[in-house]
Amino acid sequence: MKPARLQSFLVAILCIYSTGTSAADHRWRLDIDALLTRYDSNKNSDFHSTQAISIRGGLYLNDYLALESGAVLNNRVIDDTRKDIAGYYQASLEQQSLLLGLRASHRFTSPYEIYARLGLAYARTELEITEAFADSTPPQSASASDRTLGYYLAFGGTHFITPTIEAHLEFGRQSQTDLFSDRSRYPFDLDALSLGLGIGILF
Amino acid sequence: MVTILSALSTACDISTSDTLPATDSDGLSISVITNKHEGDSTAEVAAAVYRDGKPLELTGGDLFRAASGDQTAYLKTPDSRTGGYAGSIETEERTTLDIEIIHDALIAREDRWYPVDLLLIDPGPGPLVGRRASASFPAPVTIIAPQANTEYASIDEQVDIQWMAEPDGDTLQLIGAVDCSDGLSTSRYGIQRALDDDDGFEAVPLNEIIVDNRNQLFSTYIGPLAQVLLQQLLNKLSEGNIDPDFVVKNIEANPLQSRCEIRLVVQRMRKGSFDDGFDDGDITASSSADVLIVYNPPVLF
Repeated sequence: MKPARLQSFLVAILCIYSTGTSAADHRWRLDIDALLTRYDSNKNSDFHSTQAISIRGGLYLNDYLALESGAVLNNRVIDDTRKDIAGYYQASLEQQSLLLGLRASHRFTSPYEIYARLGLAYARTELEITEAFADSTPPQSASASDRTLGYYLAFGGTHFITPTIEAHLEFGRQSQTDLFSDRSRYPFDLDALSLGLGIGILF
Repeated sequence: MVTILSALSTACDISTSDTLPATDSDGLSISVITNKHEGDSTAEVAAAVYRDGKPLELTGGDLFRAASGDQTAYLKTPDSRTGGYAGSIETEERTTLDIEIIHDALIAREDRWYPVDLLLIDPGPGPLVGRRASASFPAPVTIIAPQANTEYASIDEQVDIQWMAEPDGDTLQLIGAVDCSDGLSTSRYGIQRALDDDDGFEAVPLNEIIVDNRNQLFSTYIGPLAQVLLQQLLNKLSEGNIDPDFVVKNIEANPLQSRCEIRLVVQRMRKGSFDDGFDDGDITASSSADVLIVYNPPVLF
């Protein structure tokens, strides 16, 4: 789904919701997740896995749907060291994202719930290249960053430990397209696939 | 055990002379090999620079640029034959190929996955930039005989090779890629032989192409009884988890007693030149054509 269409969809949901609820009905949730993330570009990058933390707050629109926003902070992740005719080089990448989206869930009679999350991800991606040459000159580095609007999608399962505290496991994907396209003839798309384990607190 | 298997794997290697270009000279030398094969629109090019006989690595954005007519190509692929770099270029017949070491940090990195134009680290040109060599392709080779898939049944026969002669004084050589199979094992090797003159005919005895690997050249050859013992030993050591024909399959077929497909390549070669920046060099441009013949002995066992 294109980020622009997703943006319109989210606005429409909010408009519909704002006409039919009062402040007294509001229920909130807070989620904190530890993520194991693997980045993959549409080029031949081969990033190692890295860790990330995700913090999200959610406002229930009804029993099944919540509006959520939050942030994902990733550790710097490195690509394999490679060699070509110019020398040895290694890329590293760091990304921070702000999320805005919806969380749809289905609660079973047991203390279990399944859910899906979908939304927009505004990400700052920093790419750094370190290059070393065959001669004895010290390695040199260059870096650049880009801010792009992408989307995220996640599926998960929840186990309620108490009526207001739950633990969940989810698999997610965040995509940013055409990174650095405004400054380079060689843009690339970046996906972050993640496996997350977290807790949620309902208020 | 490792020693035995190692000896086994090398027992049937065919000894050939070193075909690498002369790289043992002192100082700075260059080697360029380029060949245009019959029917191909491109020529393969490999180039290397040596200091005191050792290959020099181009780095930082220095690379070989090959130019022929209005075509340009960059040699970026590491080439184990020369210790340098290889590539291919579209070229006409009998044209000149110019090789120059240039510095272009972006072209050297354009195969990388990230935005190389945005994250460009350029250390500047190295000391080899600007040096050149050139060579002209000789006339293309046209093989008249033998016909493709001509069969020979005995190594006492000879292969009468005929080609369109050229008066340009170029040198010729014959290269053969021999691929043999006795139904279970295979054997692959190559031969190289100079051809006397560019007069259009050479008779090559088949016994110079098909070898008997059960002669004294193969002193590490393992006899049938030893093969049986070795296979039994391997069966025992692996507790039966090994191919029952492991030893036989790892012993190369004897070409003399096998059906062999022989791809004969006639190569016409011409020396090129290099600039004063090099102390020595070996620049060779060649044209080639090939024909496939078959050695099929009457009795296989």
